[in-house]
Amino acid sequence: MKQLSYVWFIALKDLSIFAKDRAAVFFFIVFPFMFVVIFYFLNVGAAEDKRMELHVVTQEAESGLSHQIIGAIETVDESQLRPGEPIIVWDKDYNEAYHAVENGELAGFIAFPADFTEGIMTGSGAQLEVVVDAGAINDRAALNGFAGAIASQLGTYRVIVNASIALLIEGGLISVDMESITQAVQQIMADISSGQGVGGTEASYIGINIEKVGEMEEENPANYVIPGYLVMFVFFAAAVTAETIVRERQNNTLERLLATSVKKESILGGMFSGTLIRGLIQILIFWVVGILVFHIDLGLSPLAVIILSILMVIMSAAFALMLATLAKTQRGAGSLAVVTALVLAPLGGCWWPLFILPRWLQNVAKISPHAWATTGFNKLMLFGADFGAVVPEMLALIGFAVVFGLIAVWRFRTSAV
Amino acid sequence: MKRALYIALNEVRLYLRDKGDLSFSLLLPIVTFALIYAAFGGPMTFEGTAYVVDEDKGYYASVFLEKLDGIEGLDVELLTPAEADTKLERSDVLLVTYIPEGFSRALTSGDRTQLSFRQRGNTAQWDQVVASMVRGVAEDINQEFQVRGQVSASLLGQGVSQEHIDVAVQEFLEQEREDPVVSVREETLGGSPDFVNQYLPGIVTMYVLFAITLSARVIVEERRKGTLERLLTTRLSVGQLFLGKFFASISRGFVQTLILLVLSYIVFQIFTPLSFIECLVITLIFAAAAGALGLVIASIARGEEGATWIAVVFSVITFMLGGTFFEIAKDSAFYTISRLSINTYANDAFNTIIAKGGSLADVGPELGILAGVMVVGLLVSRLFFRVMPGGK
Repeated sequence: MKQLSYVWFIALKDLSIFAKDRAAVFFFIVFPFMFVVIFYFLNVGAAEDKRMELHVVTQEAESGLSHQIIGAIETVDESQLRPGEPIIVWDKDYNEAYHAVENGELAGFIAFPADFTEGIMTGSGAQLEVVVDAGAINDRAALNGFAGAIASQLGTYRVIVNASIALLIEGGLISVDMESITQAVQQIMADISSGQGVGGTEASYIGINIEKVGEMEEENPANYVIPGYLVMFVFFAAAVTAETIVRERQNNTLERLLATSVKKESILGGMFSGTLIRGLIQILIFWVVGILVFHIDLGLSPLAVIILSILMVIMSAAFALMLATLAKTQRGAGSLAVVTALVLAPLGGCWWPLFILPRWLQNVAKISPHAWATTGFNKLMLFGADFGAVVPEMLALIGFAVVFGLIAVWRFRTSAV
Repeated sequence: MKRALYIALNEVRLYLRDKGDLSFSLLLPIVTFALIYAAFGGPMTFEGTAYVVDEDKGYYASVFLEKLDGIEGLDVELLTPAEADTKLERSDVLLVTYIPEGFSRALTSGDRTQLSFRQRGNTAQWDQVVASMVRGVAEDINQEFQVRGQVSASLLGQGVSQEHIDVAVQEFLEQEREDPVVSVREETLGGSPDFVNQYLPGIVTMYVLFAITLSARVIVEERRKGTLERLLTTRLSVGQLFLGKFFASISRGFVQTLILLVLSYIVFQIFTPLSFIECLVITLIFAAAAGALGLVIASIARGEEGATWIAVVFSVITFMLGGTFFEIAKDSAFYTISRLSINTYANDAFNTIIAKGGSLADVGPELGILAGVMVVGLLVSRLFFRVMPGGK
């Protein structure tokens, strides 16, 4: 019991020293929010309720089949489009469109080649060209998908025509002369181009029904900016306390404490508790300001957000102790704290959401506790996950905390020599 | 002047011998650049999630889900109707695809059916891409039914058996899949070379600024321990000591940048010999400006921890405003604020030389501003510079 009170006194003393350092308190509280404000405003309006625009161009003469295709798909009246359907824009000049992509004025376009009709009619084949800015990820996927759909539809028509003609000839239903075949092909194509099946019904067997359930609400950027910087700065603030612990070891302050009846475990517990309480104050400020000022949404399970935050603080405090036991000098502890905080933050999804990174990098990021914490917050606050969905993230943070804590206990020494 | 240069040389020697410091100043920029290059520099492909409610659970629903899951970069997440309602209600997702009950039964019996999109507004761009992927898969499954249906209808009453039609259709479909009449070729413009030009100078200047401002801590430590005061017992004057520390910062920053630029030269081949020399000139002036600001921090900070915090805060704000990790739109308020950061001018100058093939004459205003920051920084820091705590 007495040792527990020592733990408490050491923690309180650490807190009181910290509270008296006005500069540290300022940087502990205000500095993280400067980041939050900058990134909040940078991300406001990032997602718009706007249709995609897909540009199409042809290099064929006006009599070419591509002119009919583009004419049929071109958007003439935007109000006729169903929700989410793209606007199809017909650009007239290939070179102009190409230069526009080169100059970053246009994300990309689909081009029909000059020999498109010839390739289709002779059966030698044709190639659609998708010219796109490598960085325009969404447009690139949409243009390729759209070009693929055009190619697939033309392929379907070819199969219908070829299979029908082959069976008609095989059954002796039409003569094997050019005139009869052409006539049959024209009849089949007429059915197809009228958008009707031969039996007078819709051609497609799988239609798409679109139901708009409400207006698109813009994602509050604070829902991913605040958790990211919370994780970064809780870890950062805890890590830099390692420097203070090393200094006390070098000053022999810890040795002197042992000369009283305070046990080594109590010193360790006191330091851990001090860092822990500071971290808890930090997350409390983060969430209160987040809710009141930035109107963040804690999701379906606010309890899970709170538990995840507390686990993040426990893990960070354990990391600080481990760092203090690993670093030999005060400067070394300081450098290690800054380096680990600055490397693990971007790796762990604190500067940008982890889910926008390539999958292999998301897997690599799992070596950092930051990645588990930010993934958990993103699941809860962006994707509407419930408590059960973030249990793996909670367990991972507990695992990190246990490993860091065990190393700290094993390596902890009060003497600098 | 000679003594001040000795101090600078000694600092560079210490810097090159200190493995920890070296790794911090050289390894960290390399690791950061590698990390950002891995994250955003490689071939960028679309990645998204299709949220699906499967109310059918039949054969064709499985085929649909399997094909959807097979699309590269697309994840499929199955939701219950209640989960989908909650997520749509809360805007946690903006598009949900519903496979209705009886979907497989309808297709098996040759009837038409519908998938449903329930969505908010036009949805976000990535959801529109997901919707187009869903349409593509539906079209893929539809192809077989449409071909069979239309061929059957065109041969209706002609005495051709359905079995015969099915065999012929299957054969032509396979031919089409193997050798499509229309294929798609992609040409991408832009890409990784721009990425190197965009991020590399920013990351180099970020860590140079970091290293120089963090070295302010050493001056504060030397002041606290009395090292600076002891140095005054030699023939060094306060002015020479001050100048020595300034030259030390410049030399340290210059050597650090030199090593990083040489590595960039070797790995990315982004320089010509002339542009390399021009970049070294920019480096020198940037290091001088950063060194002067580092001295301001060393002069105003009372303790080592305070110096560290001020250095970290100042550096982080400066490099963020400098557009290190993101391009700042020219007509934004952020662009105006970014003019307060010395990294903005250094990064602009590097970009003009490296990416746009400009010369030093083209970056005169940027270099002028950096030189101005250096002069003001030196004046302010000299005003507050003390060799002993609370002393002169």
